[in-house]
Amino acid sequence: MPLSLIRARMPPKPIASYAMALFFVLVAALGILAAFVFHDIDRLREQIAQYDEKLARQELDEAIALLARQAESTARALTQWDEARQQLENPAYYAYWRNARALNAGVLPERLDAVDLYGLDGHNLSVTTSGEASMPSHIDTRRKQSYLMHERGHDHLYFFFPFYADSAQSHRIGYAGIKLDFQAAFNQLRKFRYLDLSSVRVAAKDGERIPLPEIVSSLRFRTTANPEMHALEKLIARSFYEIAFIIGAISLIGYLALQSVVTKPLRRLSGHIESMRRGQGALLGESYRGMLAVAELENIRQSLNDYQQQLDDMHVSLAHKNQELWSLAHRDPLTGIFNRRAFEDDWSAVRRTQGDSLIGMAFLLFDCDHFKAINDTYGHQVGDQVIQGLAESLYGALRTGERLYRLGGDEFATVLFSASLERARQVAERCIEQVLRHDFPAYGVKEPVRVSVGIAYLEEAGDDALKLLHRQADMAMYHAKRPGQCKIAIFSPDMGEGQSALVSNAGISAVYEAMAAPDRLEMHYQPVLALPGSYIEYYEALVRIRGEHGLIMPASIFPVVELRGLEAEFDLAVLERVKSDLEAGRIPAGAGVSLNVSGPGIVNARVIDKLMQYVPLLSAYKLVLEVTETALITQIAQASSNLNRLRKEGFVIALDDFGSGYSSLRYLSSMPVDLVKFDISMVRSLEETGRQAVLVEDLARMIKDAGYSLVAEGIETEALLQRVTALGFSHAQGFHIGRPAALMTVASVSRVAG
Amino acid sequence: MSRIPTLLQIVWMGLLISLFPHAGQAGVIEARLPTGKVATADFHAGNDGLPAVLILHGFLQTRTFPTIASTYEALSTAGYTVVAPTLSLGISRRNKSLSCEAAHLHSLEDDTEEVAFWVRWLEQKRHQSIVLVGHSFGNVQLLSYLRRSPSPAVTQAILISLVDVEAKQGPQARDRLAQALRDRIIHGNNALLGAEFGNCRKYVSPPAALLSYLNVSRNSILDALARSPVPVEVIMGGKDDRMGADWVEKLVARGIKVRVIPGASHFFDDQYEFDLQEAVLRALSRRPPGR
Repeated sequence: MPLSLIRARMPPKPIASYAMALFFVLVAALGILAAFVFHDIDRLREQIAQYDEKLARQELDEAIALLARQAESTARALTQWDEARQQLENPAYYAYWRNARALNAGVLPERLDAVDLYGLDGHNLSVTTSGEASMPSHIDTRRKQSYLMHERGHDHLYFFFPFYADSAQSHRIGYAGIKLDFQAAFNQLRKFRYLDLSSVRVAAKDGERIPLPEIVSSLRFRTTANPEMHALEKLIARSFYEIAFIIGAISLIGYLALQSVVTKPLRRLSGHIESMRRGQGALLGESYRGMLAVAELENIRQSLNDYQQQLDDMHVSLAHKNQELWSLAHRDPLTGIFNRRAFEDDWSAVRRTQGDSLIGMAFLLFDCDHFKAINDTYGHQVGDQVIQGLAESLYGALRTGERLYRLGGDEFATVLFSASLERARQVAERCIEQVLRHDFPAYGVKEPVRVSVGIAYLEEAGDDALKLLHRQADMAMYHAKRPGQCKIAIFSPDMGEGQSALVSNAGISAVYEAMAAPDRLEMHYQPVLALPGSYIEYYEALVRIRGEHGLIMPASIFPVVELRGLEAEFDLAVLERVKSDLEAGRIPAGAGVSLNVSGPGIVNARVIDKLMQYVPLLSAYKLVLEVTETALITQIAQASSNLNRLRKEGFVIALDDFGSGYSSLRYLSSMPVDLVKFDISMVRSLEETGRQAVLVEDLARMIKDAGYSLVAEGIETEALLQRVTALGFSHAQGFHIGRPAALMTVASVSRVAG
Repeated sequence: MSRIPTLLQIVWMGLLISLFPHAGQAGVIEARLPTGKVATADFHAGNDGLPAVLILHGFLQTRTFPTIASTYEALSTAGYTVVAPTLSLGISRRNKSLSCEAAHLHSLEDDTEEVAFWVRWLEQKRHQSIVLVGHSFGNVQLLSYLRRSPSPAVTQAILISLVDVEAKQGPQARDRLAQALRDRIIHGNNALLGAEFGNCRKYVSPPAALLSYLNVSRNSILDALARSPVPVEVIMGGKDDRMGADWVEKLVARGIKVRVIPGASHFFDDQYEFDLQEAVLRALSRRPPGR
C-alpha cells in the first residue's frame, strides 16, 4: 500500500496519541531487545552448557585417570608392603591377611572394598571368592586389566597389576587386585567444578565389564549449575531490567515532559485556535510552562497573539466597514433615511419576530403629489432637493425611534407600533403639516408640495394580515391621491373593491392585454350636455376593460398604468379603440368625443401621431382632448407645442380635473386650453354654502371671463345643473345627465337627445 | 626349614653376593637365605685390622632403626667393617618393621639361622674377627646364636639394652601361653592366634612360631650370658623402662659386664646415642684377642 494512500487514509491524531504511540513503540523495541537479549542468553547458556559438559567430561577423564593413578599408588604401596609380599611367598595364612590386615593395617586406603593377591598363574590366593568383598577368582595375566563393573546395583572399579619382588620390578612374584566402589571413589575425589557428582550413573548391564579407557563414555551425568553463568544471567537480566527501567522511566518522563511542555501547550493553542474559529478567542496569556516554555511554542503563541490582535483589529475595522456597508445598503444616500432594503429587512423582522403578538400597528405610506411633474419641470436636482425636504419634514414629524423609509422615488413609509388608529392619523396629519411648512420655494419650486398618506391599520396582527398591510396602505394612499379626496386615507375594505386590480395579477394582465389588443377595451361614453341648451354636444370616452369577472373600472386601471409608466401606451390603445369606434360610425355623427390623454401621452410623439390620425374625423366629429393640469406641468413646453398643433388641427383642448390639483392659473393662462373642467369636488361645493362655494363661483366667473368655456363635472341633481348653468358653465356632465354607457346605449341616448 | 645351610646354598650365596658391585665397599646388599627368602643388609667395608661388626636390630624392627643406624654410622666412621642385616622374619626384602598384627610365621630358630648366615657372610669376606652387636630383642637372637656353635670368628658380643623378656609378661603368664601353644600344636591346630607378647598386645602367629620365642626366659638369657663363648658386654640405658627393676643387678650378679649410661632410655635416643656410640667403640677397643 503506497505511503501516500496510508497517509491519506489516516486521520489526524492528537500529538498525545503520537507520543503514546512512540512510547509503545519504545516499549515494543525494548521487548524485542529483551527477546534478543534473552535469546542470546539462551544461546550463551547453551554454549556454556556444552562447554561445561565438555569440561565435565574432561573432569570425568581426569577423575578416572586420578583413580587410576591412585590405584597405581595403592599398587605401589601394596607391592612395597612386606606383609603382602609375605602372602605371595607363603599364602598359608592369606585369609587372615586379606580379611584382617589388608584393609586395616593402614597401608592401603581405607576406601578399598577389597584387595586380593593372585599367583603368577592368575589364580586368586583366596579359597573363596564370593560375597560383597569378593574379587575375581582368576585374572588374565597376559594383559593388564582394569575395568568398571556394574554388579548388584553397585558400580565397582577393579584394578589389577603385577606384583614384583623387587623395586627394580625384575622379579614378578604374582598379581594384586583392588576393588573399590566407583561412587565412593568419586566422592572422595576433589570437588568437581562442572560435574554434578550425584548425577553420575553408569550405563551398563549387571555384570558387564567396562574397560578403563571406555568408562567415561559409558557414564551418564549432568553438569553442575554454572554459578558464573547464573551470576552472568542475573547480571545481564538485572542490567537489562535496570536499563529497561531507566529507558522506561526516561520515556515516561519524556512522555510527561512532552505532555507538559509540548502537548498541553499545543492543546491549549489548538483549543485557543478552535475558540478563535468559533469567534470566542482571546489573547493567550503568559507561556504555559513558565521556565520550561518551549521557544517554538512561545513563538507560535506570540505569533498567534499578534495574528489574533490583527484579526481583532481587522474585525473592528470590518465591523466599522460592515456598519458603513449596512448603512450604505440600508440608508438612502440622498436623504440619509432608511431605504427600501432597510424597510424590507425590518418588515421581514417584524413579520418574523412580532407574529401574532402584534397589537396596534399602523403602516403609513407617503407619496408626494405630482412629484413627477415637479421633477420634470424643475429638473432632477430640484427634484432631489424636494425629496430631501420631504424626508426631512417627515422625519421631523416622527417620534424618536420611529423609522422613516424611502421606498423609492417620492414614496416614503413608516410603521407605528402599539399605536392607535387615531394616533396614526395624527402622525399623518403632522407629517402633512410638516411638509406644508417646509420651505420648498427655496428650491425654486413654485407649486405647493404636498403628500398623500395612505394608512393601513392592524388591530391584531396575524401573519396573513401583515402581508396585506403594505398593499392596504398602498391602496389607501392611492385613494388619498384621488382628486377631491382628503390627503389622508385610511384603508377600508371597500377600497379594495375598486383597486384590487391595482395590485392583482388579473388586473395587471388585463391592462397589458388591452394594450396589446385594443378591442378588449370597452369604451363607455358619458354625455356632456351643452348649456344652456339641452343637447348632448359630445361624449367623454371613459375606458373600461372587460375582465374575467366583469368590467375593470378606471380607478383600478390607471393606478396600474401610472405605477408602471404605461400612460402613453395605454393612451395609444384607448385612442385606437375610440378611433375604431368613430371610424366604424358607432358614434352618432355630429356628436363629439372627448378623449382623455395622460400627461406623458401629451408629450409622446406616437400619441400625437395617433391623434393626428383623428384629424380626418374632425370634419364629422367634435373632438375634445382632456388633459390634466398635472399633465401640463410635465414638460410644459412640449405639451404646449403639441396641444397647439392639435388645436390648430381642430381639436378642442380641455383642462381636466381643475381644482383637484394645483389649479394653477399660470398654467391655465399659458396653456392652449379651450375648456376648463371643474373637478367634481369643486362643483359639489357649489351645493353647499360657504366660502368654498363662493370661491368656486368667483373662480368660475373669472375663468369664464378670461375666455374659457367651463365644464362642470359631477352634476347629479337638477339643482346643481341649474346652478352651474347660472354660473355660466357651458357644459355639464354627470349622472343627472347621463351615466357612462356602452355604444348601444350611447346611440339611443343620442337619438333621444337629438 | 633346615637350620644347616647346605653347601650348595652357601655356594649360591657367594655367587649372589659377588654380583653386588659395592659389596666390598658400602651399601645395601641382598642375600638369598637358605629358606629361599632374600634378606637385605647395610654393609660397610672397614679398615683392615679392625674386627667386623654385625649389628642386629630389635624385635620386628629393621636395620634402619635409629639406634642401629646411628651405631652403624659410628662404627663405619670409626673404620670398622659393619654389616647391619634386617632379619627377614620370613619375608623377602623386608624393609619395614613388622606390625604385631601381621602374621608372624618366623621363629627364634629362623632368626638365629639368619644371624648365623650373616656371620658366615662376614667370614666369606675373610673377616677373622667378628663382633656381634645387638639391640634389645636382637640380643636374644644373638645369644641364641651364641648358644649354638658360633663361628670361631666371633670374638665379642656387645649387647645394647639387653631385653628382659619377662618385663611385660611374667613367667606364669608366659608359661600359660606357652602351654596353650603347645596344646594347639599337639592338636595340630596351626591356626594363627593373637596373644600378648613382648610389647605387642596382639602378636599374631602360628603356635609353634610363637612358642619358639616363649622358650626364651630371663633365666635362659642369664644362662646364655654366663655360658657365652665370647666376652659379652652389656650397655644399658639408665632410664630403660623396658627392663625389670632388678635386671641390671641380675646381669651384674651373673658377672656380666654392664655399662649403664645414665639418663639413656631403651633406645638411647637424643643425645644419648653418642654416649652409646662412645660406649660401643670403647667396648670394641677392649676387644679381646681372637678365640
